[in-house]
Amino acid sequence: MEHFLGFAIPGIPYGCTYAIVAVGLVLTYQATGVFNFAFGAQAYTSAFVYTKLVQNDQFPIWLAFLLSVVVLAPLLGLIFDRFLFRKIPNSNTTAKLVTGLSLFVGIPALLPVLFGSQNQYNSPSILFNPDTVYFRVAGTPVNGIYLSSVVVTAVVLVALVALMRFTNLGLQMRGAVESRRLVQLDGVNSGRVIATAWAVSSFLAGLAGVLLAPIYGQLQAQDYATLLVAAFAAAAWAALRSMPIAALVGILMGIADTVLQGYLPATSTLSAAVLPSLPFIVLVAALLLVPGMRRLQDDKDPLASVDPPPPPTTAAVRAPQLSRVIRVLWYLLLGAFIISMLSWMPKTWESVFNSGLAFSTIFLSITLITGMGGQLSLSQATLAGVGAFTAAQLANHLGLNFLAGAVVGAVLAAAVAVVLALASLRLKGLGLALMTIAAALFFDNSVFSQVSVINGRALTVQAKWVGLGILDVNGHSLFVVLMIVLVICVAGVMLVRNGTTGRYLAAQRGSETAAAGIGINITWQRIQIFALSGVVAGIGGTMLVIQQQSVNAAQFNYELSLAFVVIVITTGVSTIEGAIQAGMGFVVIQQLLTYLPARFGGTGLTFVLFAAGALTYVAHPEGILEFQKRRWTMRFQRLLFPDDPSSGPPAPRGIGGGDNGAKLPLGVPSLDGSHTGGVTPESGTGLEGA
Amino acid sequence: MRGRKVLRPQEVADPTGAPDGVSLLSVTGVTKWFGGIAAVRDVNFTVESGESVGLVGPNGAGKTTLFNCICGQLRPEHGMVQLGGTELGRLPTFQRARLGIGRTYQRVEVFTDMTVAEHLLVAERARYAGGQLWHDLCNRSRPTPAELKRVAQVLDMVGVGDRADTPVSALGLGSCRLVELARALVADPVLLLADEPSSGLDVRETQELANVLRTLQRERGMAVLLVEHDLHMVAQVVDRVVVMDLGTVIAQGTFDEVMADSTVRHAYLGTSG
Ligand SMILES: Nc1ncnc2c1ncn2[C@@H]1O[C@H](COP(=O)(O)OP(=O)(O)OP(=O)(O)O)[C@@H](O)[C@H]1O
Ligand SMILES: [Mg+2]
Repeated sequence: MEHFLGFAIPGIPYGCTYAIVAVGLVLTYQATGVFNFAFGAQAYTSAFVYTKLVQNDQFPIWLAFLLSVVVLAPLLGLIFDRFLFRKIPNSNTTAKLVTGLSLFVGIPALLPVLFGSQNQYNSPSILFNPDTVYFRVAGTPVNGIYLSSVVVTAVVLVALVALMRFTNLGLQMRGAVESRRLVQLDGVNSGRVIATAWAVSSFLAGLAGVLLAPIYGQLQAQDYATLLVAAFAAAAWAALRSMPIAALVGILMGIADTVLQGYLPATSTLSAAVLPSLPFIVLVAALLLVPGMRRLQDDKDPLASVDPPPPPTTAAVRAPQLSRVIRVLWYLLLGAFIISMLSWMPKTWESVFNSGLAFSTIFLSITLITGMGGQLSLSQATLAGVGAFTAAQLANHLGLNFLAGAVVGAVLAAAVAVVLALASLRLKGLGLALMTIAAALFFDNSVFSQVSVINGRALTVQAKWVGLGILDVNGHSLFVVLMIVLVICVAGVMLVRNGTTGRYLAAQRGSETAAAGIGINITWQRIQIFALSGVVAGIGGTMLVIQQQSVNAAQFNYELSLAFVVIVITTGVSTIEGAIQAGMGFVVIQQLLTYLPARFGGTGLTFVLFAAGALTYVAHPEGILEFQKRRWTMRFQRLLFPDDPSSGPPAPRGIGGGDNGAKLPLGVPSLDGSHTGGVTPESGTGLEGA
Repeated sequence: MRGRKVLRPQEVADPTGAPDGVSLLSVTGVTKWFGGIAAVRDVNFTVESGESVGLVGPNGAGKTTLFNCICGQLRPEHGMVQLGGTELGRLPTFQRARLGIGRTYQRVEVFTDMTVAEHLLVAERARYAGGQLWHDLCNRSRPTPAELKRVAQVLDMVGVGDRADTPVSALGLGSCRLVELARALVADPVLLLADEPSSGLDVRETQELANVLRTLQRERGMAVLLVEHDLHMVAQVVDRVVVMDLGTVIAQGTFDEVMADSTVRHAYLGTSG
């Protein structure tokens, strides 16, 4: 028993922070319908600012705490609410997810750009002295860090229960769960209730961040992602409904982690593989077992679907003349690009463009699964990694050529994707996002770290295994191979999109009910598209490895999976062009940023830019870049052919097509005026385009 | 795999092939609960092949819920649904559709990204489980001339032929209902379930719709189960009426019989409240 307590007690502080964030997640989800992916980033922000104020600017601890947690954290929440989430109709799950993801990716990348990345070590504990052992429980010393976490968590949870149970505001927040509009019909200012929920839950996130900071010696964004996923798992077990259950599961997870660490042999593969994935296992179990998680998608607002006039957006049809001009320009550009790459292109830029081609291939898999399949999958980098590591292992063990390995890798990636599809058959939207993020985390922590070494040495990519010498085109064989692979993948995606499968998928995006009603096997289509996107991602991953001539887990970690989605959403998820622009844009921007001072280099600012682009998803579900392109096309068109009737406004196409508010009554000012203003996102886009 | 299995309607529900005395659709003791309320309670009725039956009742009577039970979108707690004498049991929606149950929806369910003609093309393929990834990759899945011809025919019949290439997002509610109807009809269903097809249509369009339904039923022998609040249209289209209230069937018979029934008048005029 003493043994057990000795292992359990150190887990409590972790558990406390998990519990606090989980409670915050449940609170916002209940009161506003938003499952906030940005909480991890918000926690990190408060911790970052707190540490910076104390360590760099010599602020007293209480003042730093006041500024970072009491002022900054709720303020961030209010800003997100007011300027982002408030503008999203409640029924638009995808937009809520995408917005949260953009913040998740963008904020941690933005902080070092703003403040520089100096000294982020040894955050001070807020209440008690971290070095003092206050007392011992069963022989385990309890120091200030532990004590602070426990005391603060207890106080906060009790205060929260009191707020929800005994105050009018709490009652209204619980009412908002049922229906925002019903609450409003009762004369409650729902905007105020929602804002309060945001402020309170963001305060909780900030608090958890600052509590966690001293536990880790160094402040790292990754640790906060782990915090977030653990909190996801706890919230999922509570079916996003019950705060006490969420808190309890959170604390238990913290304890389970250290207890397992204590009992499992420290050096075993098992402990190396299982421990980091504990949140993953708990989250997947919740998604599979908690009935409430499967029913998340059901519309819980009885007034949200009053009556169904479809949105009267005019379709965008480019005038045929202009289409021809643009197609010719495209071919010219492509020709110029190929010729340049084979002749005068400097080596640096040749390699930049080469990696752009590999990324484009990976991003095509997002076009497949998200653009065509209408499913927001957050594990595409992982699938790419499965392909890459398979090829690399086969080469290292059997000396197999990488291109042959790519085929095997693609098949294996498809198999993983199919397993993922089968595990999440009943999940949509948020449920699927959580399942795929869990899968990404699992591979990241438990698989890739294991397979990226062989006999204790890092996996390598040796030139002889790549075997490109066969078709040596002036030393540009890599470019030729990457280009051919991309072209094949593009052709495949186009054929599928224009074929029966593509039409079935389009039907499913429009209405799953009606798709099943005309005889489409939705499950089978979904498995197919997952498999297909696995194939393309796997091939892309192998190409990336060939190009970068190295394989390591960091190339395919789960933050990248999220970032990839955000990037493609910015450039346009429903077109093949979108994927290619995303691939090229991603590498070209990174390269250009290297010419700026160091703080702006790396992936940081690139992620910030794309995340900012993806934040416009509500207004431009077709992708902000795609939107701008159409807008300019239309302008040109009106200049060139003023009489053409097809110079109408563009029709946006987003993920899941029709579900994005298409079923909201148009022109009827919504009761919840602040949210949609009676105009669906679709028509909003149309107006601006006109 | 499942997706490739071709189920022809004749296998189960050939209107002429069903043995004598077996109804095309028979609903026996179907009960569906939502929480504490029975939206449908112990409902029994049949539809013979080629027959046109009206299903009427006040709001919340359980008509749409019953449709969902027949199509497999909802699973009733008790009772069974048989098509051509075969129990549908736990058969998923898409397989029921391939057996020949066509459906339109009360809350319009169109494919937002598609044009009118595309709706019909996709329905035509799906009905016979056409479409394999392999065909797509070999570029062998373009619409065949026969398919295109059939689509054009159905569009003209329903009266939206002039809008074949319009995206549905540019259409009004009434036209969307017609597109839904055409989408159901293109697959040549043996039984059509139409949920309030006339709402959103004007008087003339409603009349045309009634004519189309009548013609199809007479000439092709398609059975129709029609939910409709417009009793005028019901009177024109159906042979027989089933009246529901609060989840149960309260009367069946010809239109005139049923309208003379005092329970029905009571339910409709709502003297209870
Ligand atoms: N998904 C659901 N969850 C809970 N209750 C439901 C659900 N669907 C329907 N109901 C309830 O079941 C009852 C029957 O509804 P249904 O839509 O079948 O009626 P209806 O006869 O089609 O009415 P209307 O003429 O308005 O279309 C109603 O009381 C309704 O509130
Ligand atoms: Mg109904």
